[in-house]
Order: sequence, then C-alpha cells, then structure tokens
Amino acid sequence: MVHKMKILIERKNQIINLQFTGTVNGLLKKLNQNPEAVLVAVNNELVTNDCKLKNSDSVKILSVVSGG
Amino acid sequence: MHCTKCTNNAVYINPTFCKQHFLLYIEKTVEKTIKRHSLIQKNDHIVVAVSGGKDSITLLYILNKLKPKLSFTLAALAIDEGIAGYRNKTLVTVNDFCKQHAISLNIVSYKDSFGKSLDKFLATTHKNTKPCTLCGAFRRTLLNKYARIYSASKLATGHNLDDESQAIIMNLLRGTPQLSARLGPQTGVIEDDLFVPRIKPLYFIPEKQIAAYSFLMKFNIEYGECPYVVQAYRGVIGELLNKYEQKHQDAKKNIINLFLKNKKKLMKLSIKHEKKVNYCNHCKEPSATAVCKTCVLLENKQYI
Ligand SMILES: [Zn+2]
Ligand SMILES: [Zn+2]
Repeated sequence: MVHKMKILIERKNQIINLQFTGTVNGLLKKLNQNPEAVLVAVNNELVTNDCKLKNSDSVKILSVVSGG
Repeated sequence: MHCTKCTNNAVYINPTFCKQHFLLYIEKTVEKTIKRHSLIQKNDHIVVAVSGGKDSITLLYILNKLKPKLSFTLAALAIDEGIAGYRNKTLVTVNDFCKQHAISLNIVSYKDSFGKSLDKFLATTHKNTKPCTLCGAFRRTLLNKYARIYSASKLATGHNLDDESQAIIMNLLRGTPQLSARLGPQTGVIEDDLFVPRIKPLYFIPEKQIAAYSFLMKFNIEYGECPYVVQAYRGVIGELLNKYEQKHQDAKKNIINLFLKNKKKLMKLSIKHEKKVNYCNHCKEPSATAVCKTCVLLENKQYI
C-alpha cells in the first residue's frame, strides 16, 4: 500500500490525501496557497517553508486571516 | 533552517527564530512599540477590548505579562452583540482565558444597552441595514462608554500591521486618504473627559506572526467566523498585499511607515478633523456630528 500524506486545509475545513515529496513551500505552491496567508504545522509542530515532508506526515495548513 | 540566535530549529522565517526566541521577539516588539510611541504611561489603567480571536487574546496575554514591568493596571472588556452560534462561543474563550490569567472581565451586551441583540435588530427593525454598519457604530459607542465607566485611561485594541496597511490602501483607493488621519498606533489623543484614547500595541506586528504566536502559545481560540462578515473589499486588498509581500518583503511595513511619516499632513487634509470633541445632542456621548451615528441608526428612539 502506498502511504499518502494527510493534509488539512483549515479555512476550507477540507482534508486531502496526497502523495507528495518535497518541501512545505512546494506543497503550498501545488495547493495554490499563499505562504504569506498561512502557517504550516507538521505533526502539530510549526515548521518553516523549507521543511522537507514525508508521506507519513500529518500536515495542517492554518489560515492566518482573522475572522472578525 | 536554524534560529539566528541559537542552534535550535527555526519555527518561523523572517525573523528566523526558534520557538523560544520567536515568542521573546514578539513580546519585545510590543514593548518597543509601547515605549517608542508612548502608548502606556506609569499608573495607566488599560482596558483591553477582547473578542476572543487571536489578536485580542495575544494582546491581552502580552499586556498582562508587561503589566508589572511597566507598572500599569489592566482589565478586559468584551461586547456581546448577540450573534447566535458565534459570539456565545467566543465569549466562552474570553471568559476562560480571563479566569485562567486572573484578569477582570466585563461583558456589555447590545440587548442591555440598546434593547435588542444584533440578530434581533437585523431580523426586525433593521432588515435593510448592513450588519457591519450597525456593529461598527454600536461597538465604537459601547467600547468608549464602558472603557470610561470602568475608569480606563486608555482603551487597547488588537489591530495589527495587516489591518492597518489594508485600511490605508482602502482609503487611498476609495479617494478618501484623509480618513487615514484616524489611524495610527494611538488615536483620540484630544483631551476630553468623555473620550478614552485608543492604543494599538500590535500595530507593527503582521497577522501571520500573531497567528504563529498564538499557535505556539497553544491559546485555546475559537477559529469560527462571524456569520455576518462581508469582507469582500478588505479581503481583496488583503490578498493583494500578501501577493505583493511574497515578492517584495516588508511591503506592508513600508506602507504604514510611509503613512506614519505623513500623518500630520493627512490630519491637515482631514476636513472633519477638529481639535475639540463635540457631543451627541441625544446620548451626550462624544461625536463628530450633532447626533452620533449610533443614535441615527437607532432613530433616536432608544437611549443608552
Ligand atoms: Zn533560538
Ligand atoms: Zn448619540
């Protein structure tokens, strides 16, 4: 069985399962997310955009825009 | 990537710091803003407007931490507009947070002040009024009035670098740059007994850094969105600035710095800018016009 990365996009309340190798930056590009507007947590730890991802990682993309 | 101050892994880039150094950096930035712009003086009583979002909770936490060092006192003030399914949740966040940190909290509701909740206003007498128009006026009136009633020498709000740079650009694009004269790290410095000056200690901190701070601090924040929120224009501007920021770092910071340099000129441009505060004929609260916006919206029927 191929392991897929579990990604939660908080703002859309959407979970994606994806096979991906690369950095956080690459993933954000692929998902069309502006790095200025989101924070990324991998396995519940805040990471920088150069962080390399594994398919066993659980990734959360958190929106930084306030809801008012 | 490593922290620029130690050998630990960075949790944030630009400024590139580990968790510990990042938290310290944010707190230092707030302290510097307060000192450089003389936002808080010794013996001030600061009332913090809290909504339960990341900005106001971060502000409340950091001010509470700085309180002994800068020798001021602190209390929290929350407005309950009466928005079912939203505000009741964020008020639980605020209440728990204040209890945990032993901060005194007062909650003032539209219902007690104006006779009806926001939900009720919008469903009955104000069907054709934009929710944010009502809230903008009511919130402003209540924050000032209750900050004063609770003896605040200053009212602190959680506005950040993104909020402020967006407002400046919006005023510019709408052709009303003079409205920006009301922005800045402190406003309402005109001496008046009824008017509480406002301060924005998070003024120089980008939204993303505040989100990172509150994530790292594990603040228990309700991330819901107000059901009435219509941020169409502000949202577009925010997105535009973030796109620009990606290519030109510090774009947002450059906007507010340019603004701060020119604020005096803008104040001269501002037609409405007067040195003296006027009072609403109806409720007697400070107002730029003969009858304040809140009383106009209430059609002078309800007194506060
Ligand atoms: Zn460090
Ligand atoms: Zn009035």
